[in-house]
Amino acid sequence: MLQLENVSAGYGRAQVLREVSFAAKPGEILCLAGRNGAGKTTTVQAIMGLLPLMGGSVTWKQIVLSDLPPHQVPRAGIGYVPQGRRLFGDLTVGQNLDIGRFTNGKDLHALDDVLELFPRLRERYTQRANTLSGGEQQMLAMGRAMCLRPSVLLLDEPTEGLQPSMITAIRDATAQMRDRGVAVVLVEQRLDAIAALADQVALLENGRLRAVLTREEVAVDPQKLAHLLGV
Amino acid sequence: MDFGPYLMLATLEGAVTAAVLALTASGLALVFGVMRVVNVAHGEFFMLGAVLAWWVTQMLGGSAVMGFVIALCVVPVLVGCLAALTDMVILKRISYDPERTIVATIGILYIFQQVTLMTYGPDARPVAPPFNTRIALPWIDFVDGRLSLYWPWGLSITSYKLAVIASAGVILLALWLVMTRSKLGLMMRATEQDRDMALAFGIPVEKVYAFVFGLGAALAALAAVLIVPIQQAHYLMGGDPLLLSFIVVIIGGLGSLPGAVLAALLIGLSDGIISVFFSPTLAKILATLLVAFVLVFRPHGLFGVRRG
Ligand SMILES: Nc1ncnc2c1ncn2[C@@H]1O[C@H](COP(=O)(O)OP(=O)(O)O)[C@@H](O)[C@H]1O
Ligand SMILES: [Mg+2]
Repeated sequence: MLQLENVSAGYGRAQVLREVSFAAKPGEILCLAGRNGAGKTTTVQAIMGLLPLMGGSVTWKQIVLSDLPPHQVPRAGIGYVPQGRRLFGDLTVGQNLDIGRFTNGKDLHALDDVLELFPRLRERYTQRANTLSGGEQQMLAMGRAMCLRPSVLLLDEPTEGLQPSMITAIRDATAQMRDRGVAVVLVEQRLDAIAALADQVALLENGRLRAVLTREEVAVDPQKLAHLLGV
Repeated sequence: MDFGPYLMLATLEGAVTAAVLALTASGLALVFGVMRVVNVAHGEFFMLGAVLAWWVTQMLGGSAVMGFVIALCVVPVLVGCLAALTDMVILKRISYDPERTIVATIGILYIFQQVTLMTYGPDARPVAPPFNTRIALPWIDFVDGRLSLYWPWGLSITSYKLAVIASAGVILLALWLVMTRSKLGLMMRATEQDRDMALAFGIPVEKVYAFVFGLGAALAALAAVLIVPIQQAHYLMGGDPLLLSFIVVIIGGLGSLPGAVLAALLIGLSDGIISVFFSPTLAKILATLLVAFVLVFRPHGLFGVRRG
């Protein structure tokens, strides 16, 4: 399990997250929901070790991720698809995927799997990442993280600003990762996506955990989630 | 001498300047590009390269060729390691904060300069070139309606200067191959583009920084070892290469390696040509004016790209 216990974090001296706790299980999708500015991206960055914690801890299996230097976090099997994609824009598609494979140089199949899942990336293999369309860039961001063969996958609003066909492709890939036993943390705002994918929903509000709902609770009372999300 | 041969001579002299400048400025551009650090001490790594080359050739004695080749291999590594250590002990401690790194590297500049003065002394000392044959160069001219080859009096260059130009070309090519074709180059470029994402994919950014700072210094040291048989080693010799490297990096586009090389060619060649035909002072004035124009009209450099 990926376990957050009383995680507090922020930028410089400004605290954003206050004692957030939740757990994501292998083979399940935990949706992290909340309005803009609620602290979703901050939470994901804190898990990656990109923000120093002001308190609490993040653990995956027996490994205390929050004690590791940031570059060791992906080596523990944590894959990251950041908000806004943040590709290495001057590098080619192939080089971006190579960087995803740095931590598992021995696994030669990871790249084949990604190119099979997103054939578009094979066509664009030698093209620079910043010449791709938005949807292709998102596939590359996803593929880059999948090349790492993650056991935990953090996806920060992966379908933001995409056209419907691309949204489907990304959601299918997300579901596929879950089916392979990956613990998925998906930052998502859309109710339909949450209803379709979430095994658990963790709701953030002003940097605090407002509620954790199970799949059943969401199914029984969709209005409750809508109300909590303020939509 | 006629105008043609004279121009060729000036171009060759300029090419030597350009070659050494391209190496030195590439080091500065690399450090600025990847680390966003303005390394004011860059010229001191150049100076240390020259001074250590003198030490190594003195200590070894023996043949000039042996001593020089060993200096060429060992000195850049020594200077690179010293720079990497400086990065880890000083720059890392101040988290690469832009303002504090400038102050820190000014401090490093004085430390290296004064330690060199205390140990090596105030004298300029020569290093013997490994070979130095004077090669007369031919010129083509029309005589009685057909082309003919002749050797104008005074049109010559030493074999060593040609070797400097060639070596710089080879080293820059190697640098380009490392940056574009190797895993190490990929790590450096990824770190340059997005430090946090590099970390998120397991790239040890702190080690990359130490390596890049070392590599930048090693390039300056290499340039210095190449030029010291022509120029002599002196504890204050770091000032000019620093200034010229800054000019080149600004004209080439901050942090851009190809830009730095092109700008070094532009500055080096025009310096050589203008110095020969007019005066060295005019060459410096024009270079400074060019920088001013670039800063006003193309702040991203002549060859640089705007960063998103
Ligand atoms: N780099 C930053 N520096 C300072 N404050 C930030 C920074 N990034 C985000 N914040 C603040 O942290 C809060 C949470 O932001 P974020 O985690 O990005 O929200 P979300 O992803 O849920 O929309 C916001 O109030 C935002 O203003
Ligand atoms: Mg966000």
